[in-house]
Amino acid sequence: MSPYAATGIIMVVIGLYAAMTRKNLLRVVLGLSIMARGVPLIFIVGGMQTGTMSAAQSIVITIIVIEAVTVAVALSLVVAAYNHNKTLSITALRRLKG
Amino acid sequence: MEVLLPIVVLGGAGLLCYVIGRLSLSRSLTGCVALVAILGSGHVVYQLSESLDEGIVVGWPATGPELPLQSYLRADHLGIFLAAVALLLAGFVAVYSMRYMHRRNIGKFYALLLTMTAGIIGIGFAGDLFTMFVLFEVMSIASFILVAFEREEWEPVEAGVKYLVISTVGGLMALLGIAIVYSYTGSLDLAALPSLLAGDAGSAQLLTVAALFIVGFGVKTALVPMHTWLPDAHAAAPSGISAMLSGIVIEAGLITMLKALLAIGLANTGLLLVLIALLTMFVGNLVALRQSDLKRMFAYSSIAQMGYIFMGVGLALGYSNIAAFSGMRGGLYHILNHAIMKGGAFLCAGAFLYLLGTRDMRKLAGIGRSLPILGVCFVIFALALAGTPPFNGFFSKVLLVRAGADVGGWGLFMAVMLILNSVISLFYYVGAINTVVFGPIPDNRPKRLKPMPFLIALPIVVLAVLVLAMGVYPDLGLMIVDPAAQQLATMIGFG
Repeated sequence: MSPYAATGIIMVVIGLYAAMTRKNLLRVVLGLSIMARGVPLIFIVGGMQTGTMSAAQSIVITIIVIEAVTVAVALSLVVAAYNHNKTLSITALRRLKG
Repeated sequence: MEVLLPIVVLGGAGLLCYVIGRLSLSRSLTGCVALVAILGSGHVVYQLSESLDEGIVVGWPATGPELPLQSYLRADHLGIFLAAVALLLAGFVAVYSMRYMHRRNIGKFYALLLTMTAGIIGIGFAGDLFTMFVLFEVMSIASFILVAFEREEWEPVEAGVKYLVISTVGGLMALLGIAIVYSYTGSLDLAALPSLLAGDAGSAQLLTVAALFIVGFGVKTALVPMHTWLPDAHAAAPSGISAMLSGIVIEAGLITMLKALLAIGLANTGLLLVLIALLTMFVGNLVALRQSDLKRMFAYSSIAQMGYIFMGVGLALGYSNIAAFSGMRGGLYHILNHAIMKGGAFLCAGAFLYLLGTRDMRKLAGIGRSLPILGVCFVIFALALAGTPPFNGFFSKVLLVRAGADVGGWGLFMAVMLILNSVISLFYYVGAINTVVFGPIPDNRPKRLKPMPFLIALPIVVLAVLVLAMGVYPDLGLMIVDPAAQQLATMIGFG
């Protein structure tokens, strides 16, 4: 495995860890964002290995757009949650039973 | 071009709805624009299915990749099936929401509803993994906003945050799987991948990819133990959206997973899916027994129904030599029936919520007697969901049991478990009917209720009639289910 692919996978793991364990909503969103940065790196490596770099680049740009929209929606929900509770702590999100 | 048309029509009408809703604040006008768009794309989908029956393959921009890694759409029977179910339900929800939703944000609501429907149709027609993922995310992002639509209240916001975080993590896992497939093969074409990967069956990287697909798309499909977001999201969303989420969005997740798994050549995932299905149906049904909130009860029941569908799909994948067709047929037919009956049930619960402002079954007691027509519809939906004859849920469960019996051994065990689960579900549905329809009317309820708007009652009644009609004439549904099941069975045979 190339070091680039390894970096990508490490970023996904770090992001996943942050999204699952952090108590602050903004950090959870940051975790998602880091995850969404790691995956395109693997696409780039794939493009390098298979010699289809131009296609890989267009895929990566699309992923970045999707990720930006998701983060925008996530942040608007975080703002709504903050306006209700005046806190960003994830422990406030325990009123529903799940 | 025809295959892109439904998606473009729905997306364009979404923008139009937003502008109209913003300018006029008229719910009927905005809703009618949405309904016309849904009917129009329904017509295009019908024409697609006609030309498919004549053997003409329709694709956009071509029927296959002309350049390596080109993204393209192609019509097939599975896509037509998914589009038909999505448009059917979206049509009813569009009519229902004309009176159910508040006029303040009506433009945004219809824009998002149409975007979500466009995403679902795109998933069915996608010809390569990445296009499918992009449209899957279009559907997901629209549904996040719709769940948290009434953000002045706390419950939708909390449900929306949970749904967004869990679902995005799942989507990124699936995307990681797609990235691994891409770096090994240099291709993402759904039709070409099985032959490219045929030599690697059972290798470590393919098993990793299969696991990532099952977990990633399984989050959207609410497989236990990735189901925790579903009861919150489905209960907190506006009722029309609950009907869409429960009736078609989670099923679209399943179709996405199925298409992705078939592309990488199964990698022996069938038995694992059957095991997960067993867990899913038991958890869904047993937790539903303890719910007093009507919409939460229906939400848990959706988890159980996904278990039934997964049982059929898992048997078809695991025992492809015997049950490929019968399992897929049962699973897909249950998707269609579940969309109709669970959609109706959520709309019915929404109508009660509209009148009384509560979802608590004890406070809703006796409402079915005050509104006899809706009461009868509620009984029909509840009995159909429990799988009693002569309603449509019964027939698809019979197909699933028969697929199990075909397999024998494990399949027979699963068939018995499905019947046991139907009996468990009968307990809570009969309990709900007993309270909501025959329970004592609380003293503090006003004698005169608000009048029930015609446009809220109409979709519920039509759906109830459909439930009964498809129970009496099962062939009505099999017309669109059978070609799709046949296509999937052929694809499994190839892997």
